[in-house]
Amino acid sequence: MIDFVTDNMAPLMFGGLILFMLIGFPAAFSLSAVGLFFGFIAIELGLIAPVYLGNLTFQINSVLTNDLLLAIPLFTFMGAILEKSGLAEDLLEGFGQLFGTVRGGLSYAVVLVGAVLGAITGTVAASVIAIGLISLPIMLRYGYNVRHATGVVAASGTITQLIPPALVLVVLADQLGVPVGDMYLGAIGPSLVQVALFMLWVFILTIVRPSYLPALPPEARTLRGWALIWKCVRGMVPSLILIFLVLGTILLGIATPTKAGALGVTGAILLAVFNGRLNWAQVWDGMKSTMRLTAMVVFILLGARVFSLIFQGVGGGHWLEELLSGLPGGVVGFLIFVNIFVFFLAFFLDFFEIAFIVVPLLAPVAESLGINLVWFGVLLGANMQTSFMHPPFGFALFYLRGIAPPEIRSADIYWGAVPWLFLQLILVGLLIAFPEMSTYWLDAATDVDLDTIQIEVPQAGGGGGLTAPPSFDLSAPPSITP
Amino acid sequence: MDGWLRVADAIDRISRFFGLVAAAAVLAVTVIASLDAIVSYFIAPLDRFDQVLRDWGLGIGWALDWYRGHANSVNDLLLVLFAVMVMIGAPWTLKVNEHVRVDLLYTNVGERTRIWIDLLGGFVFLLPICVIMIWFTWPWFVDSWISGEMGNNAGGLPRWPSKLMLPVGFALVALQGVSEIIKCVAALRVGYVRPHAYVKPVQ
Repeated sequence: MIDFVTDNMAPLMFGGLILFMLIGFPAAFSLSAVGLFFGFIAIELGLIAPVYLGNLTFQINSVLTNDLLLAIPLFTFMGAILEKSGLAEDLLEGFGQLFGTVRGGLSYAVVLVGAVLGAITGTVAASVIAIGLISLPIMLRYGYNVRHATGVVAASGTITQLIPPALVLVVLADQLGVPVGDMYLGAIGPSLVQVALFMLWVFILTIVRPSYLPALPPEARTLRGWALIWKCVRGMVPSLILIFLVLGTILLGIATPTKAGALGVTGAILLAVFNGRLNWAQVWDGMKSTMRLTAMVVFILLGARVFSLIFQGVGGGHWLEELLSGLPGGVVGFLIFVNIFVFFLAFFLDFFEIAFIVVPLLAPVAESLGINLVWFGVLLGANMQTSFMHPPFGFALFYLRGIAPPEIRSADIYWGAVPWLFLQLILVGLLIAFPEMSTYWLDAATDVDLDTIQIEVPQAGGGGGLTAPPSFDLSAPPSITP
Repeated sequence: MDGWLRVADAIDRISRFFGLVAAAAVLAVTVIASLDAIVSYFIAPLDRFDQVLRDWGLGIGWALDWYRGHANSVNDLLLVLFAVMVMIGAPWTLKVNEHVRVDLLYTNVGERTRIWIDLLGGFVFLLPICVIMIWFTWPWFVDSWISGEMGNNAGGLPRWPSKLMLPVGFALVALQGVSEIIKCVAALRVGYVRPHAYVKPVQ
């Protein structure tokens, strides 16, 4: 018996993790408990030395002195403020008026606004609530299919999870040990593809099910000419400024994600005050909910660190690596397995729980298989996006239920999400098949230096490199003007 | 039981006070980190601006000079505030039942079973963990305090404030855990209704 336990400590501990978590006590404490419980057994069995537990303090302290994690409260706070700032309203009214008279126009507008909001903020709640509150009533009034309307709103809200500066990407970058900037670059391609997929789906629907998304009658278009342009400008200019404040400063290397998050909050507060929509009670509310979310998330991480310290101590890393690298199909087999695993895990685990507990276990295996960790992280991010969309716990659906008019049935919200869920799974499949989608932007960032070096050498000799650029410059402008 | 519930209530109020402090830290972090970002990027223009202001006797050069010498202090201060937010805010998060659970079973059992889960979880998981953590982290703080340990970076702050947050935070969480256990017992014995039903936290 004792021999069996000693030999199989890691699998037993993994089973213990599942058991302890299933009890339903807050995960942060269950995680620490399972870690310490097996830690003491392992000490009794002589698997780890008692002094090994002394590392606990270092592990815990390293969480609280991690600059990057400071981005969690700042991005959350920014989302809370942005929700109240009236920006989503301005954007939706502008785009809605602009595209409304096209068939499916409101759906295009919702997807676009979801993408713009996603590029500003890093959390889902703000987008879904703001988009849903404004566009659902309009869509229903003009005869949009209920399931399509709820689906497009929920899906557009979750775009936020993948478009930089998504908080998900920051957390994954931290757990995988890659720079956040690289993670953001790697996510640009997939998020563009996702927006394109969503648009394409709307377009297909306008052909096969035109009655689902009718064009708005001309009299619904209250804004024209300059008034319409002004409305769009009013939405887009603050958006672009906020995108620059957060994403631009990170990608240009001016600010760390933490400072960029702080700038974003300040910008969002200024915008909300300028729009006359913010009062102190709302700010205070945002501060309190941000604090609670941060404490909750970081406590999970503390618990996960306790667990993984002991788990690694009893050889859990080797056990998992042997188990997962022996999967048939090599790298692709591993990726498919991991994605299916995470997809199902997301039915009952929170995103942060997956990121803190599961990802650190998978990362070393992925690295030993020679998988690009940025690509791997973006893939996981895209995968976990689905967890916001599927019943029964999908947050996007949850928020939508909270704000949807009572005549919309919950079943409609659930069924409405299904096609979009498949679109997101297609994206995951595409990402596995074409890693270039993610790595292209990364390579582009590094290749620039290589290219300039290669070009400069011939320039010194003959100047042959000079002929190419002018021909480019001449052909481009004429093709734009007509 | 009334006496015990008064104790629980008193503990709740302590947690609430620290929760308010932690919430204030959110705004403090926002303001300080924004200023840090702006000043560090625009330090040259700010220097020129200082020349203008100085003519009016309103020089800000001293502040800029202080920043140049203490940029790492600002960074360390942000991390202390982060530790405050997390460790001092955790007990209040526990009180309002917002620590996330794996609710596969929890939401599908009756209220009485839930009370038992929270009661036993409090005794078997939460309290022992907090005690062990305090036991590990307190000597660490004491070492840091006595040796006057400074941050790794030049011009940083002393390390002890953020290390102090660890044992203090776990102690407060343990205290709130006692309050929750009292409420569970009261719910089982005298039909006390616990005020915060579990709702999956929103992100």
